[in-house]
Amino acid sequence: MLARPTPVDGEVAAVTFKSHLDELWASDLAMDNGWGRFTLDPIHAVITMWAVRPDGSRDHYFVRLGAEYYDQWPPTVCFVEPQQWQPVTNASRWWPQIACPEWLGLHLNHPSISRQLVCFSFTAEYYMVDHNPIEAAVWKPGVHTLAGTLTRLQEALKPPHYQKPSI
Amino acid sequence: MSAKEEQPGHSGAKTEHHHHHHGGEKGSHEKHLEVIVTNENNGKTDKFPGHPDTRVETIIEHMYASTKLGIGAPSDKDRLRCKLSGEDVFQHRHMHLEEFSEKHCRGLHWLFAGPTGGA
Repeated sequence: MLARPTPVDGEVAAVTFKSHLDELWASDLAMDNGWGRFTLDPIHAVITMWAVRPDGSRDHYFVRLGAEYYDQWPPTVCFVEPQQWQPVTNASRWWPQIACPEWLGLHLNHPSISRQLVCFSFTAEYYMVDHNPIEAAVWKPGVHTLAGTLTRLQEALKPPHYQKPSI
Repeated sequence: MSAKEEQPGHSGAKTEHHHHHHGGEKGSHEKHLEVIVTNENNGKTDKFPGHPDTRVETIIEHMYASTKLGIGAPSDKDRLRCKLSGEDVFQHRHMHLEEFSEKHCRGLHWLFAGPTGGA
């Protein structure tokens, strides 16, 4: 059984979180993927991401990352609406319709945690629910950073997985 | 709630160099190739020099050994693909770099991704 995430020191988390975001934004990955970044507070940021439909047209989404457990565990991850940056709770323009690959699950309100679950091994919420991934897929501080979280999520937001907004 | 937008940086990189040795035989020419690997698991990038006849698998070995990339232990679920074409690099491990570049991967920029569990 994988250990459940436990909160880490907020000041340390904030420094690590900002450092990893800055490193990522200094690399080609952020530009190549067209990501934008809004800092909400020291341990929360909203990332704007582009999704590509099968016909090539694009939709943007807002993904909130949190460092409550970072980087002993992955960042918390949720799709948010653009008014208050709160998690999407209903099928809407801001909740993507994705033909999920085997490594991803999307739940608007997962019964085990009573909240949104973007379910793959590079999100903190994944470890709040019982899973049994292969060892190589388990988050490892120092090996994995939020860059892995975003690049994998971006992959799901492209063909052949992404379809369109839910509504 | 205050919000500050930050723009991504850009670091272009040449991927091929031609070194002319003016002091040697007239017209002598040695070609150097450079493979760039980005580890999507952590955003780190490293560069690996090679020659036209360097095998792809040699660069893969250097990639796993790179402390800068910090990939960790190899997994049979690892993925390595060409940035421009999306071509799987592992399946061409026995090719020479120049042939691989010409047929499958212009620019020789590769993207590494380890396995992810989910659902």
